[in-house]
Amino acid sequence: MSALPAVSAFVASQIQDRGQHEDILQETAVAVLKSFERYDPKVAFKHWAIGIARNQIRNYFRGRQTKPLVFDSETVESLAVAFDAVSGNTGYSLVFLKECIATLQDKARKICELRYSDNLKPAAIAEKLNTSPNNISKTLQRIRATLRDCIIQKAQLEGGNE
Amino acid sequence: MSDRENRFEKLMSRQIDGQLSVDEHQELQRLINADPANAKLFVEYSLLHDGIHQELTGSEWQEVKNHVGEMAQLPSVWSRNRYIQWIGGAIATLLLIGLFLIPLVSGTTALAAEEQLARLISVSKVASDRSYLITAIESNKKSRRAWRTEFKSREKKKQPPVDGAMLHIRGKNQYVLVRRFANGDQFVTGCDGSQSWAVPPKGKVRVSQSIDRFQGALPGSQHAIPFINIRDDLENIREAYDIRWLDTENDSRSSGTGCLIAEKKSSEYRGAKYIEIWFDRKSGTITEILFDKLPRAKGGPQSIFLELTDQTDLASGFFRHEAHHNSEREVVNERD
Repeated sequence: MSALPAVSAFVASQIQDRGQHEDILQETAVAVLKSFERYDPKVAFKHWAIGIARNQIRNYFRGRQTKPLVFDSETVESLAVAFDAVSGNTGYSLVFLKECIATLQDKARKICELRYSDNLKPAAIAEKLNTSPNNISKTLQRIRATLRDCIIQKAQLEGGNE
Repeated sequence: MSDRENRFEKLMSRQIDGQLSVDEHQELQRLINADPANAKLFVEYSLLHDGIHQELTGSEWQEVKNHVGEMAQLPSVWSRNRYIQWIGGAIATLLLIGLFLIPLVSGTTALAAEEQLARLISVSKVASDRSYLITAIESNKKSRRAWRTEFKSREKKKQPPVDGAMLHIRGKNQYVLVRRFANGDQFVTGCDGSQSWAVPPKGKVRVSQSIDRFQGALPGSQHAIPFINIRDDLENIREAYDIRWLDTENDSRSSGTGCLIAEKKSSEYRGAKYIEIWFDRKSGTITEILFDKLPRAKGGPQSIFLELTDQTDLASGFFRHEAHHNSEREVVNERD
């Protein structure tokens, strides 16, 4: 796995707004380019890049009144290690994601599209579908669990080992 | 699944959807740090979450990867391996927003331009009320994403165009932007320096304590130069652009105005590739400004032109929302 999906996922796990996510990803890319001379090859590249992404998230929201909840140093360290572990795991590959999304029921698919294509939060989705935000949150949690299971199952069938 | 695992999955999901309280966020961090298996699970869900977005929108790094063919333009300091690791993101993301221009300026011209820019910055500290007419210049060439954004915007018909809008500015973070729908209805957004607000033609007036809450429609706001705090914007230009002085002294058409041309130093900076700042030679007041070759990955026009139309002092309460709607309108204070 290259560094980009890991860094993108790391930023996405803390930044819900996709425009801001894109801005931070871009600024991280620039910061990586600028500081590459200081990169120590003894450190995993992905690990280093995630640290830079974390700083860019902080820089991006400096001076703004609305700030997201960002992870502390210890958590960033734990996640950077985990990103390395997951990238070496052939049992978890997003190459099967498209097929797995295609297996979702219509309602789940609709909620997925509202959440991801239209970038709506659970409360807004609930309003559209005339249900409660809590219900949507639980459904989204179930959808993601279903997709994760599907990915792992397909990887195992293809001969991967978790 | 145990209660503890259930709790962790719930926290993860709520984090991904931006719903965690501060206490829950602390709890999530404790659980991630307590067990590498939790950290791994969180990473898997983060990758999945980001992957679903990429899959359903086909945006960002999926598009980025399509541009990998531009490798030849990378800095030579990068080793190929490291380069390949980051290429999908670093370079092609920049390509996506069209940021490749590193102009050179002669030393003497640049020095004169620096002096002029310093003067404009100084004058901007004491500037009076100014009103600018905004003209947006479109281009036929649009990215797929830009078309999609524009289509969605038209579909919703909630936001009027910035073309033809009036921008009134005063001190720091004090502005009023008046846009019009095709039927003449006004959509007014602004900030009085401490509160930002939005007054649509109908419905609730929204007020926020976050001063940048309704800045999205301002020309250049997506590119770090929203043109409401002239001094800050000029400082940004000084840092990120090569400035040259266009000698217009003997040009009868320019009649007492001077012009600075700013061209972006490098792709490290966001914003228009090219900016022209026209100003009154005597007073230093900016009379026209052109932002050209704007990044268009998120849609929007290719160029924005602002022309000073009035310097009459506006009423003292003009930058407050109450000045732009009747007292019967419902006002909602947004929780930030």
